[in-house]
Amino acid sequence: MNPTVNNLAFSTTFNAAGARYRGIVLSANVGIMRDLAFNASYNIQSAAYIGIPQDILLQNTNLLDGGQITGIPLRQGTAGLSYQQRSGFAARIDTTYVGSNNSWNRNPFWFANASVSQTSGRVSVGLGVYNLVNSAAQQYGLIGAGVFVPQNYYGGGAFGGPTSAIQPGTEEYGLPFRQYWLTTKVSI
Amino acid sequence: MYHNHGYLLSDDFASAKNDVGFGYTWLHQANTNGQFPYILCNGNTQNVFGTYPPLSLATASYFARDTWMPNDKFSAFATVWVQRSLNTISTHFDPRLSLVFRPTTNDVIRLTSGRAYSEPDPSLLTPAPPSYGSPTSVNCPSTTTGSGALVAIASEADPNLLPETANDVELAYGHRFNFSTSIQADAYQSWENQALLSGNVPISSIAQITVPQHLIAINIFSA
Repeated sequence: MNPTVNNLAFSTTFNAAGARYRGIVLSANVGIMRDLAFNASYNIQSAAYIGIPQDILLQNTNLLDGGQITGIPLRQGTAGLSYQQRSGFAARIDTTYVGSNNSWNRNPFWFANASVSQTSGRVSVGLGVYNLVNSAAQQYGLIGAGVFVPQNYYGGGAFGGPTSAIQPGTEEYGLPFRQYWLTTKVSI
Repeated sequence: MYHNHGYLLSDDFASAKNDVGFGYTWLHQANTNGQFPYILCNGNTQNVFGTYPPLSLATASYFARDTWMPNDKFSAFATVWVQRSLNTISTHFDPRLSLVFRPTTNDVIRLTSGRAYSEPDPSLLTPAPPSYGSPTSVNCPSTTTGSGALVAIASEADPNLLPETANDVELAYGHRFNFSTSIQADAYQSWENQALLSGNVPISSIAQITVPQHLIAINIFSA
């Protein structure tokens, strides 16, 4: 359909509302045995905009007044194992859990990073791997494959709601495929 | 490319159970962005790497602080900031108080409350020629109200934006089982005012502005 002045818009930023963030963070560090430690954290965060004017809700249907802000997961967590020898060898693996309502428009997922390093004197050499097992990895965004992103009253619900999963057209994003990092550090 | 500079002037008066300090700080950050190919204000493209005029962020602040430790189990930390946001021409009074209690050598409880502010990114404030997307791909919906009625074809700054401000309170507990094993729990709540929202506004509602000449000037490295 040909654009009209009623269709076209600028994207911009407003001071238009309040926001309330509430959360609980639980974390632990556990020494399993000599040189080996486990650490974990679990984060629950409620994040909501409060008092968004109606005209902004009308024009930005993914803004929810009082609902969880789109793109901020309610639950996230991390867990990691670290091994540190006094000789200078170190290794660790870290996993991250990302709950629903994430900015990738995906169902909950997790990914892991790992690294090993050896320090000798003033020289340290490390090898890191990002996204060790290719979790949620994809080359392109997949339009229509994303999870349903909640809309306010003025969204699709005002017109009877979507009639197919494709209609909302949510794009599912992914993480990069496995990447390797080789780093060398020399202390002067 | 970021270029940060600033200075801090402060003095502290330490006693056995009380440390008092005050000071003044001025911070400035210049953010320079470049692009290849470079797009001129008239929309024409040149196949060179060019830099846009730098965007600045500056803050001038007075502060006073006090650390009070009457005994081994209790300590209190207080800070009061009076901060001037030079970009938004606004002044903010931001006190913060932390009370720390250690009932045993392996337990600690902390209660913190305070105010804070956060300035908008200078790119959101600075009037500049709007950066247009790809108008040839505009696909307008058949309705003019409701979901997806507005199709953004460009982004624009708002020089009248104010900083976000927040009041927060936090309660934290930590316990140490041994030298390598510990747990922590933290609960918090933050109320934010003047929240910055991204969204669309109809073109017809945007007033015309005049872009300052110094923001139109361009720097092109090589032809």
